[in-house]
Amino acid sequence: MTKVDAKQGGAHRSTGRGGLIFLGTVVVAYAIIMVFFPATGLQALSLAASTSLQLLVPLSLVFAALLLTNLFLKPQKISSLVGSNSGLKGSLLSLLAGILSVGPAYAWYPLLGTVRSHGGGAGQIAVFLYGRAIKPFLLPAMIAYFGWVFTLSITGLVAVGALVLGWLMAELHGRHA
Amino acid sequence: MSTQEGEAKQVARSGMPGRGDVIRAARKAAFQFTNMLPILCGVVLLIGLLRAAVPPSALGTLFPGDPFLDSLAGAGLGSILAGNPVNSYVISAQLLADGVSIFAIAAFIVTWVTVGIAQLPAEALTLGTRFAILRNSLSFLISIPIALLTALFMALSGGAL
Repeated sequence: MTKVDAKQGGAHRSTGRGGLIFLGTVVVAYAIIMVFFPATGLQALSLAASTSLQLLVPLSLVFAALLLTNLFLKPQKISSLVGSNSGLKGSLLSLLAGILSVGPAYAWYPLLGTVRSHGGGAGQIAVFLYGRAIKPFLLPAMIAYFGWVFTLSITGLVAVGALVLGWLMAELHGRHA
Repeated sequence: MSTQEGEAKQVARSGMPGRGDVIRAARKAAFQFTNMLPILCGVVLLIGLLRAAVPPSALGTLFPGDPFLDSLAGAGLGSILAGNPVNSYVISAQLLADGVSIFAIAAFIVTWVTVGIAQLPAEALTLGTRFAILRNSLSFLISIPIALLTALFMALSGGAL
């Protein structure tokens, strides 16, 4: 963590320079594609623009969650709720949070980085990210497309899979962290 | 005692954050957020590029028909593609209508959300490279038994595979 991050109590790592390099690389890729395949490049830009519009609500929720986390949740509290020693209770809480979260995973990275730097466990964060595959609001659509048996089976199995992943991450990542 | 000091003491007693705390928390949140903006922009652009480069009509040719290989192909495809989960349902319904197995569909739907190749750089920058690679690899592997078991439950209930 950089001095700035430490001062701000911010994300787990400084993403500033790495983020700019990543963005620069993608922009260069676009520039190359625009030269050789202009139609694909324009289609990609249009798809990216529509994705950006869909992000407005989730990002607003993430900003609100970040503000509330900074305001009310102290590192000790986060550690006790979803820390590496929070046990099954912490994993179930992470699973519930993942199920209820909306928007794409990358919109939640700033909050997860903060939770991690405040003592959140690797397993619990992995459970959150896996639990996002269960979308309560989309269950009727899934039932309509694939039927009850498929929907119930995959939902239950994803919930179990999330907990298994959390355990594996705690064992494999936590041991070397 | 001034009115301001009185208010501050009252706030401290109630356990509720004061105005200064709210401003500090908002500034911190804004800093954390802007720090992530280049990554978010990069991921959104990269996802647009992947969606434009891989047309849904080309996807059906990737599945050989073997349960395990179909699960692997479905999981691989779901890891590369990204977007709203409803899109994965629509693509899956089309693939299912084209004769692709339920093994592939289940793995595809699970990895669509849980594994993100395009998001990997962003995840590595915020949560660490080791975390991102390990989480995505394990999520990919876990999707295979989930797909096989989903298909098993479908078969037990009399559904088509």
